[in-house]
Amino acid sequence: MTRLIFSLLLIGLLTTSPAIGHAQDTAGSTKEPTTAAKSLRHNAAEKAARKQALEEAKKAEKGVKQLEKFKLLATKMITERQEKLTALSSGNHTKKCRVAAKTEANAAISAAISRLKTDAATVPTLDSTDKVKDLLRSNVIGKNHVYVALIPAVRGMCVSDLIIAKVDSAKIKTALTKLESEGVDVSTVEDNLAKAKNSAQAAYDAYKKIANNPGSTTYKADLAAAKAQLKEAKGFLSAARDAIDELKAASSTVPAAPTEEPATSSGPLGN
Amino acid sequence: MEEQARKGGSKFLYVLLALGIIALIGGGVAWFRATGQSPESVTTQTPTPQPQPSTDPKTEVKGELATTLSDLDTDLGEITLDEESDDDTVDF
Repeated sequence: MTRLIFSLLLIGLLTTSPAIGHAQDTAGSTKEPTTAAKSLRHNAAEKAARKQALEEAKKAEKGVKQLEKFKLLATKMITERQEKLTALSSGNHTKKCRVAAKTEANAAISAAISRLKTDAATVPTLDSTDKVKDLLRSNVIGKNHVYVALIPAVRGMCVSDLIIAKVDSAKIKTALTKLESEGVDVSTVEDNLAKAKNSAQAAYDAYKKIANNPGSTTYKADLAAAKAQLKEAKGFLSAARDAIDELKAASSTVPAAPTEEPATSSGPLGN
Repeated sequence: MEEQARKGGSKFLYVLLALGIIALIGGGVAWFRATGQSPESVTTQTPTPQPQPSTDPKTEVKGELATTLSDLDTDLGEITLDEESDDDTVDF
């Protein structure tokens, strides 16, 4: 009898273990993939490679050899920028943008890729190292400022658009309408959200201008101004959140007024 | 002789009982697999009341704003790092 019970237990274990494994697999597969946008700035290896290519070009024997090295450097700098811009226009980097904003961001990115393509075609025609250096300085870097202007501008466009989308979202609008219908004064929240939206729109426009002309001589000041607008939007969003917190605190401490009390009643001391 | 027959009969009964239990376990496992449920999920579903998602509009608005502010903080940090990058600097 004992052997029989033991055998039954063993069979039961053997037959149920795949089901447990299956359940664990299913639970594991529900994990969300990481979607955070990776930075497009150069990592340490890329920085080292760039430095090495530049050093090799500078140290090369003057003349044809050095010209070839500089041309290699130019091609490398153009290609890496084109790759970064392609990555910028796809995947997670513009995922916060709604369709219209994404189209505008991608237009700016495509324009920069086109300029770089022209530069790439020019490189083989150059006959002196000074001309290659000038192309790199004035065009490849100067007209695009891919890393210091275009990439942050596109990021700024998308996060500004995210704020606008959030303020206009059905979820927030429905919740505020519901609160209003319950007699809650949401004017402070609405006022701050409207201001946040205005600032975010101003930031979006400023970042878009930079993205469309990253070679502008005023790009640093323009970026600072756009960021100031974004920070202003953040301030209004924080104020709206604080106003909601106050409403929550008020509703949890003050008991609700009786609704069936006659309008003429003024309490025990009233006439 | 009679006792031997009785022992044989009870062995037969044990075997029948064992086969029945195995069939029950096997059938149960097959059913769980076919319906895509794990036995564990079924047993935990029974009496414990599940917490309902909050429908308080204030909490909803606060949650939405908090998520946006968090995203905004991350992006502002990344924008600053991008602006300070030396990737567009070349010293000939």
